[in-house]
Amino acid sequence: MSNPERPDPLALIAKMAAEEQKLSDQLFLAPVVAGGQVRVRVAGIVYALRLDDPSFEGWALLQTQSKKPGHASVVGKPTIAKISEYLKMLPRLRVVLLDQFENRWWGIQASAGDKNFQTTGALPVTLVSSAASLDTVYVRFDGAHFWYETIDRRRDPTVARTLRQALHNDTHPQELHCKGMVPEERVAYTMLYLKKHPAANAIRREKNSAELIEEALGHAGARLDAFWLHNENQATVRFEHNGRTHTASVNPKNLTLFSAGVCLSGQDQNFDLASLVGILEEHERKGGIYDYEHD
Amino acid sequence: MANQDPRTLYNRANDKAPIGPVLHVRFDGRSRDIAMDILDLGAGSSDAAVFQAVAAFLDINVARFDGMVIERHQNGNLTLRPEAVFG
Repeated sequence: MSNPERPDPLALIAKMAAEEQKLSDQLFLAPVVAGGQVRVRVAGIVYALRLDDPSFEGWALLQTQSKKPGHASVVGKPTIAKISEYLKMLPRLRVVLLDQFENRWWGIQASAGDKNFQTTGALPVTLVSSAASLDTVYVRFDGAHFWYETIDRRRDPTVARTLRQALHNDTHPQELHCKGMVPEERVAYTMLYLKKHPAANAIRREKNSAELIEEALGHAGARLDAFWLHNENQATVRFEHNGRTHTASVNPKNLTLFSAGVCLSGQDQNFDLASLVGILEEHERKGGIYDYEHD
Repeated sequence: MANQDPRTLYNRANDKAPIGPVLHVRFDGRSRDIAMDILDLGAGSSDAAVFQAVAAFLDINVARFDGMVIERHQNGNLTLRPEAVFG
């Protein structure tokens, strides 16, 4: 005797089989990513169907095959209206397109302040058509993929055009000026610039002297104790490392050493603050005497 | 050189600290910080591998690193700098 509160497993199986049967030989619309699989939800369960043509990618009218369970064939191309109808069921967000990485388009969310959608970093956008790098587009998210919908026609097209031209001209991001550009477009531009110029330093905002000095010392595990700016070209830095305090004189703009606190045969300017920590360790290993608190 | 994947580019573009260890290069009077994952380097990479990777990254002949040394810090970072001559 079955428990009225507990679903009958046999009835469930029968119901699912009936739903699958309805799916059989049915025509349905779906976006397809190359690799030959498409997912269909039946009675709340997602089925993965293999396509006969694994190389196919795009929007398709598909038909399942009752004689070949788990398979579907592309039998036609849906109209733009039908594709639009499909996409409207999914949540939408705006994205600034980047470029193709290994044959896949990527983008970043165009509005960091979008309350409906919060993404971090770059996201892959599938089935992009008639759009270019740095265009702002609409995409729809189905829980697994971001599907390209259309260009955002309310966005001024001259912004993307100007940015593409600047990239073509190798304009450095710190020298980039583009009327109407939003912060996310600047980030996208910077990413593409760094992609084109891998040897470029990471694009940094202007850091103050303290941040630069702390970062340089932290690289080798030292800790800033204090520093004094004597003028815009000279600073004294006091720091701790391995239980000892050291002092050095540096150019605060680029952290080139003026005086390391140990004799470097007049070659102090060959080094910088980040490399000084290791130099001091090496000097100690070789039995050198360090003049602590040296100015 | 390792591919510049979108994630790495995003962090670099947003001035985020590199993910993982950093190689500090002091060469030719200039300083650079390079995330080691961009160079496909790890803690176990040999000195030769580091020199080769940096030379390729900077698009220079590796022979220009003659007289340079590599330091390995306890925090996993590396420093490539000229050899210090004391005295």
